[in-house]
Amino acid sequence: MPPFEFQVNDLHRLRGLSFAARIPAMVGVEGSRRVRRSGEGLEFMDFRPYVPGDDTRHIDWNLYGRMRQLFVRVFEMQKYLSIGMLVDTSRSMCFGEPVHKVALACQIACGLGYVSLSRGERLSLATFGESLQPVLSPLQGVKDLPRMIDYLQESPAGPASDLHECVRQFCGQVRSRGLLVLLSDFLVPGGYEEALRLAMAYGRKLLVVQVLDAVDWGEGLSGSVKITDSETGGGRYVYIDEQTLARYRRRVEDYCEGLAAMCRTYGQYYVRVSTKDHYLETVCHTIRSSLVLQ
Amino acid sequence: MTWARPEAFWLLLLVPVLVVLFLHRRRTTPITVPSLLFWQEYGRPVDGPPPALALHNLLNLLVQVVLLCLLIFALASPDMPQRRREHLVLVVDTSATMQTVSSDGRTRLQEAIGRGEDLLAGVPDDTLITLVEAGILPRVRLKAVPDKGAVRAVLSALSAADVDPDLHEAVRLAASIRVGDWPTRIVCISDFVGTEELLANGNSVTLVQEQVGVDSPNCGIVELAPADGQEGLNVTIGQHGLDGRRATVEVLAGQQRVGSATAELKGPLTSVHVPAELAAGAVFTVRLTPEDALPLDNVARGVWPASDRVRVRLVTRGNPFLEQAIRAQPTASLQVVRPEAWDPGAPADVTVVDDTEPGLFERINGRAVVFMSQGNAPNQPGSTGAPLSATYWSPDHPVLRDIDPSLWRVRRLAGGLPDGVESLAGWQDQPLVCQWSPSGGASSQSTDSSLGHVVIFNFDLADTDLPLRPAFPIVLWNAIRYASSLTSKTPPVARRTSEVLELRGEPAMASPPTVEAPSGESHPMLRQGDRWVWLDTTRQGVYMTRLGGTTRQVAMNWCSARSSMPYVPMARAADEPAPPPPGLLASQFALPWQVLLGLTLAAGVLEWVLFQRRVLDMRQV
Repeated sequence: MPPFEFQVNDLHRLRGLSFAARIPAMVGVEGSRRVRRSGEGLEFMDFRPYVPGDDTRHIDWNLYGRMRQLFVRVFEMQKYLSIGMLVDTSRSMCFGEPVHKVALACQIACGLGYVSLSRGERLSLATFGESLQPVLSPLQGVKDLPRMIDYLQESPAGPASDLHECVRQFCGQVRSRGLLVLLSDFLVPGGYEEALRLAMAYGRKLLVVQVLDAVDWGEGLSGSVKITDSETGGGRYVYIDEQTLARYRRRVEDYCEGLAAMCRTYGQYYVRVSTKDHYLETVCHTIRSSLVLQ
Repeated sequence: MTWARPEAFWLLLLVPVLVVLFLHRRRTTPITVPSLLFWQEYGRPVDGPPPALALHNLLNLLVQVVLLCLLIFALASPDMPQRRREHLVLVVDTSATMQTVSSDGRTRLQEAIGRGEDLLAGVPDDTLITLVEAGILPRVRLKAVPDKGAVRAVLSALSAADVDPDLHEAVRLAASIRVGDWPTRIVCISDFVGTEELLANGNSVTLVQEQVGVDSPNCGIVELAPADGQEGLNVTIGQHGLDGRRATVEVLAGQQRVGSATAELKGPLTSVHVPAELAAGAVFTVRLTPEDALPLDNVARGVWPASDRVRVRLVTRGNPFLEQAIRAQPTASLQVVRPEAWDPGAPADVTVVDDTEPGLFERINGRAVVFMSQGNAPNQPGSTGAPLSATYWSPDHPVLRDIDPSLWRVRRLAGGLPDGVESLAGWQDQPLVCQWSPSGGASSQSTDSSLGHVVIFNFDLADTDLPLRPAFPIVLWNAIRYASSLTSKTPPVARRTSEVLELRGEPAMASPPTVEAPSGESHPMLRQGDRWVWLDTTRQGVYMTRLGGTTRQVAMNWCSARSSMPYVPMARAADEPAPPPPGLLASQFALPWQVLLGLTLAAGVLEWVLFQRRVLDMRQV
């Protein structure tokens, strides 16, 4: 996989960011998210009137003796957010100018990973090419950020990506509910629908980051060309003129719009980025504007 | 098929260039893309099956090569045979020169018929054919018939006449025969060159000249005329190609030779005098040797003219001046009668009346020269004492031609002229010489020519010095000839063929006069006003007309000056200057040009359609 740059000096721009609170979190001792919930937690917060259905073990009988009314004790609960990241490192991601798509995907993953690690979220990371690479999990705390960067830089580029199978394996290994960030160009022969449905079936909230380059829009293609698929090695002889190129771009746009529409339909997050974008701008503005970050 | 611009085929060298450019232009550029996910519907897979691959690969190239070849084909201006139905007009010259015999024994007409049959064999069966015979008058023998057999039959039955052709009228007649909007092609078969110029007025028809015959030396009789002042015949001989040869002219009366002469031919025309004694009205034959390719003009026939002597009757009681003056004319036959013995009905050409007596003038009914006498005129004249001389006269009048009447001295005028006289010369307002018509008309134009004129000298010969003057015989003979309506022209011994035979006779006669052609056939003459005519005089020979009991012979010859002209061969293809290149817009190549342009446009459209449908994308590197 081509190396990518990730400047530590840029981290200060990510310090104020955190994942949105409505993303389902897991209960944990070291969680950074405080939730008011009766009967759980260790730190007392308040009383409230008893309502049928409350655990009777939380009734404060001393207070009942003085007030002749039933009150239950309310404790403050701490939760953490489980974030999984799947980065596509197939050969189709090894295109792009000025940076490759896979490099930009890794930079974004590092940025989002820093945001999650700095907030004490639990992070699971894996790359996938033809198959899923070993999952780096769990990562928690900023101290694990170098491990994450090393993992990404050492991930091999796979010939082709099987998104559905990789999502199934990843969700099988990381069973916690939470946010699943998919960074890919989604130019997979099998399609993305099944993979996304599978992830949602595991209870994952999805952040789909589609990384595209100008070459995916047919830039630089004209005349009689023999185009070769970078992943499968298959080729076609195509004569490309303006009309053909316009139809091709319309198809790509429809494909991307279909992906975005599916995400909107199921309440998932979708972000499309270009290799011409800087990853900090992507994280701080594009992804933040999708309300994943706050 | 011929090519007007064969050098255009050098452009075929562009075909390899086109192939190279095609291969270069169609060369594919290998490009690796992230995914072929969206390219599946475009182009052709590299490892896919190659159905009709070669055809698809070559189709574009073939279309371009065909297009280039068509353009080169058009630039080469092919002379493609016209497949449109056409109207073919054959104009065959049947003039006298077409009887010229070539070295192979065939006449030019036979050669022309053969040329026409070859032409018929080469045209499609749906061609309409018109046959025009170009004789002295053009004649349409067949008009727009598709039957080649009928045309061949009429064509082979053509015969040459002894006349000159009028090719101009024949070609104009041929050009006027149109069949709808069919293209008309006129083929003029003749030994005459130059019919192409006849239609140089931009007519839409196509005129083709087919010349027959070869150049042959020829000599022929051009003109026959009686010798002036000597017995015999003057024969004019025309020639070409025989300069320096000696020619012999024989004059035959029946089978008997009555004269001959030999002369050396010099220049285009040679005049030969043949002494011969021939009786008036005798038919004679003139034969010229050596024989040549055209025997027609080596024989001529003639009818020796009757004597042109004028019978003059002098009515006088004795006048030696008049008698001597009339006898001085060698062609005058004088008869002197006394007034009491004069019979106006007796045959005479002219009556000269001297010293009119009472009652004599009224008996004059025309063709007379009258010298009025004093006191005997119908009107009593005046008199004068001093000699008179003419103060005016008509110098152009035949009576006073070459005469100066002012030199005459007239002591007194006779007077007593009848009404309606026209003065020819006069003193003051008194006529000295006048003419009068018995029909009452004063002018010669209104006078009945059959009655002749009456020339009146208004004085007595005894009262003038005119008889003593040298001009007296002249003015007297002028008056006699004018009064008799005779001309000084010698009657021709022969006429040219195609001249109209004409007879004067009673239109209401029971049976028309007949004419016997040289072939022996007898035909009734045609009535035309107060005359009888016969138009078909296209054969050389002696025509005999019979009117009542009168028989008249007229010789007709084809004395053609054209026969002495050299044969001008038409410029052949090798001699012709190179025609201007017809080009794409020349009318004669309109059809191929349209076809080629259509094919080129079709090829261009096909190329565009194939390109748009991406069929050409299915090709191989």
